[in-house]
Amino acid sequence: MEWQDVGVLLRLQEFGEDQLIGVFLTQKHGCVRGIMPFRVSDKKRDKIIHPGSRAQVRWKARLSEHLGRFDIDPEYSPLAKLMHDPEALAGLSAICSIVETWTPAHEPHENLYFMLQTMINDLTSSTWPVKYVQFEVELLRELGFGLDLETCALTGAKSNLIYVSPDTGRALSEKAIPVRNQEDGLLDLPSFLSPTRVNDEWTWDQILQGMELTGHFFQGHLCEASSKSMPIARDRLFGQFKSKAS
Amino acid sequence: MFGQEIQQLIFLLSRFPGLGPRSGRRLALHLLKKKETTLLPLIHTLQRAAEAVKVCSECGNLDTSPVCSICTSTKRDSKVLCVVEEISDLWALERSGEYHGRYFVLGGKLSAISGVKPEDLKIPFLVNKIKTSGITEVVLALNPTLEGQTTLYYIRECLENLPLKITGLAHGVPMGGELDYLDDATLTTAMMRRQVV
Repeated sequence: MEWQDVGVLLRLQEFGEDQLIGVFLTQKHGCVRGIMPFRVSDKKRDKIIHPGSRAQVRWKARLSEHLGRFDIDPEYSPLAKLMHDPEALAGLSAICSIVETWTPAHEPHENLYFMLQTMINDLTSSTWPVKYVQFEVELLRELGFGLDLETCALTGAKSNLIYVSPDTGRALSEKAIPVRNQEDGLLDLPSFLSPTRVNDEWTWDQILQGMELTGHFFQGHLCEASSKSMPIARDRLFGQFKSKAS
Repeated sequence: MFGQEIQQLIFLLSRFPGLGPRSGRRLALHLLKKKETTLLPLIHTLQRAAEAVKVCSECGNLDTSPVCSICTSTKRDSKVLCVVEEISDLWALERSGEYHGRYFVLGGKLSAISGVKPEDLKIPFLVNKIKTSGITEVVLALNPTLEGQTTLYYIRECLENLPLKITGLAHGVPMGGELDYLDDATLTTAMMRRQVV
């Protein structure tokens, strides 16, 4: 079987002596693996791409479940623009890792493809940490574990939402929980995730709160179900944000 | 078809980089046909190399003494240290003849995607070496890939508080290269870092 699509490279991994296996998130065919058309020692550089790059891909295999072969036509690489920004590079690694780790193979996720592209393009903006946390929330939604951050689960209020229930993933308002009990394990809801936010102001502490929130549901829904641990790239990004916050 | 010894020889030869079963058979046949001039000297050389070649305890290079000739050379600038990913990178830089300092071979690169952590490489040893040996400049000659640059920034962070000049290799158009055949990332970097001529 053979098809053509557009995709973003999520991972390059060495295969055998000199070959490389690529994992692309494609627009219409989801997450697909295949042998890349260039080798580790390749001197022809016009087809060499890095994680985060977008390319036209042709995938060919005898059966759909086989490890196919890619032929690619690179379109855009964000690496040059991010090369000199350590945080954005860590962000790119984390984005590619979380999508590659948890997106099921050969399952189309067109929304996720467009969200991923937008997120990678946003890495050059100054508010990309906020967009990264919003991307994680959207990733959870896309994979079937959406959080309800629109209304309070207890009062139905749409404003002053400050907590999220660790069990249901639903928001809770200040009015519903006037006094926070540590034993409830409520998660903080950063204001930039609230539907009634007035602007995109943020602090590093809020970014950490946001990543703790999504991290809790990644751990509970995705890590346990897939027996995969949290990607190291995400942990490293969290560490970098933490050093910024302190 | 073959005796066990020949089969074993073909099997071992076919596992060398760049070789497969067919090339393994060709090599085995060549070696066995020219036993006196090729096979026996090769056995002797391999035996000697296996006994003599050691990993340098200072930089991770390969040499016949416990500390390699680059690390013991008095003509080298001991205040400049070039950090590379693999021994092959060290050999490549030595071929250029442009660098006259010392080296440190990390033995890989950090890879969040493949799960390689700082403790899997020799980064703590490198930081300790830099702190104790009076180095004034560290050249981070790591590959311009996502993982290479991640490693570079991690090392830079580890060395942040030391009185050091930390440099990296320039990125851009390779000598003799044609713009039409270059990847977009290289071209973008070359254009962003263009210089007055």
